[in-house]
Amino acid sequence: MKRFAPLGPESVLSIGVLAVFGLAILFPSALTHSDPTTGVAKDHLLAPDWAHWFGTDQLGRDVLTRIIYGARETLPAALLATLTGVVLGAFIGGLAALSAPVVDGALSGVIDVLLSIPELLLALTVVILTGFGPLHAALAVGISQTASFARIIRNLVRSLRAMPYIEAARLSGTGFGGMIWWHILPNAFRPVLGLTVLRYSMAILSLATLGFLGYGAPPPTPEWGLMIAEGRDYLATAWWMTTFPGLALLTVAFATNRLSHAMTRPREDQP
Amino acid sequence: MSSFRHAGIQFIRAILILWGAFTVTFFLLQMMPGDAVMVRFMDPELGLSPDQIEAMRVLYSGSSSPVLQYCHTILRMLHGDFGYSVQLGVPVRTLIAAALPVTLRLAVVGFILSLVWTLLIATGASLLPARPLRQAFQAIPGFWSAIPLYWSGIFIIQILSFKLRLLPVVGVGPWEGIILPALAVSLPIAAPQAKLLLQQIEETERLPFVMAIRTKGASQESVFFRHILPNSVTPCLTMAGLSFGELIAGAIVTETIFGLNGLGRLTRDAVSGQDVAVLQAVVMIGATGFVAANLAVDLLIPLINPSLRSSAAWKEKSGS
Repeated sequence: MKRFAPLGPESVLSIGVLAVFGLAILFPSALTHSDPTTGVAKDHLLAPDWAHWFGTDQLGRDVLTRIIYGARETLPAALLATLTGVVLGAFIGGLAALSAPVVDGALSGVIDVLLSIPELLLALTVVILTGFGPLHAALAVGISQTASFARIIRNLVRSLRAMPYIEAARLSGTGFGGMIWWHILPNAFRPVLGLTVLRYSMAILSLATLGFLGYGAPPPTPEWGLMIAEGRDYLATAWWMTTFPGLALLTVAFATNRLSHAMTRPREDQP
Repeated sequence: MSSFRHAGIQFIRAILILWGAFTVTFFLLQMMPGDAVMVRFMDPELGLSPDQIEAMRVLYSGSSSPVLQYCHTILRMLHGDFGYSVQLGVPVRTLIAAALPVTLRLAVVGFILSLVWTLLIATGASLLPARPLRQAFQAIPGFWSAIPLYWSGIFIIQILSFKLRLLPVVGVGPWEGIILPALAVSLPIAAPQAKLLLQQIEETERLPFVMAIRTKGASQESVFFRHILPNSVTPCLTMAGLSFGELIAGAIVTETIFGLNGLGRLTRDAVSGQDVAVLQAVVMIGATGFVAANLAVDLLIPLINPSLRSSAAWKEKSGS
């Protein structure tokens, strides 16, 4: 059995798009020469042209430059959020699935309760608790994703545990730890990875939402959500200030979404 | 009998979940750093004496132990009393009563629109004549779920309202004013529903009975609308129940953009002003709506999907 199917054109394109954003995170100054936070006052609100591909904002800052530096604000924070969610979720969900029915019932009850609170409201509850700021926003988004990770991982591990081959392994003397390490982890890895990538695209949008509402990084940080919020006031005259940060968000979220789609699609060699 | 018992069990479960949601948010929000009351009233410009501040503190949150406060708050909430807003000094109940109708209208219209989108996408992706067109329709859910809601909302106002002058957003009646925000809210809600429906349709199409009907010469349309669609919608209904919470969350962003004074606006002000009582009330409304929608879906599914109903009846007969 092949472990990884060859990449389709869609996956290659998605990975290419993400690589460009990765480049923006690592070497922003290689992609642009201007500064993201200080502008040239006389060049304010310029429409897109050859000097400023995406135009300039109300303070004369180059919008493209701000978008490039903005990748560094949102994308690593979204990764932190999703990792928080998947680690906490795997711990709670795995514990529930492998424990006695009483513990499983109690943990599942907690998961149900957390799922009943809309994710954004849960994130706002955490934000009100910890205060505003980029790190707090990432933590809030991660915690709000935990319950749905826990639910899916619990069901996955339970269904794996009930598989005949795992039962056979248990009967032939594999210990509890061996069962988890040799059988459950390898089989759960792929679906959980696909889910994590999907959740990453949602975390990007959620973080930008918190930024848009003003609970993330403060101005003049070039955060995409915040840029959209600032651009709203100039929408009638400077459409580029709102359009391009939104397009950046859309592009990276869509590429991640398609990548997770390609990863979770059932392969041809499996029924 | 058994369906009544099932309904009863689900109802008790719903109540337990709500109680849990209350407990979680109560203890989370009680842990808040910098008591909101103190921060507000210790402002030297107000010139309150320490005694007066203490009196305010007792009035708003009470200085008793957390456990006593918890029992006190839950009893009050059962009577529909959500306490006072620290920021505005009015009962939370009054604020909610003013804001709820706006958000309910937004949620209902947005939800109906999302169902329309879902059906349109599923029909387009299954019945359109050209393969590229069908594939384009299949890609819509992934695309829509990647659109930031506030961003699309801003453009919906800008293009439909200001440029084309199709629908004004200011100075209109409560229902006309809700159409554009509901349109904005409906897109991200429709995306996961449509994605799930497309997956289900793909699975149903592979079932032998569909093949049998096709070989008997039924047209594409009749197979799709009479057989594939009805057998694929059940998981979608469950998803629709889950999306209720999304509607409340979507309201926070949408109401900001469209200048509506609903629950979303209230939530935003509550977070900015650390108004714990208001936020807790909104969370409880969100959780109640979520739980109620799921309860309704759970009870509706056996009525809609005949195969589930008959299997339950069969189980009952066979005495299991």
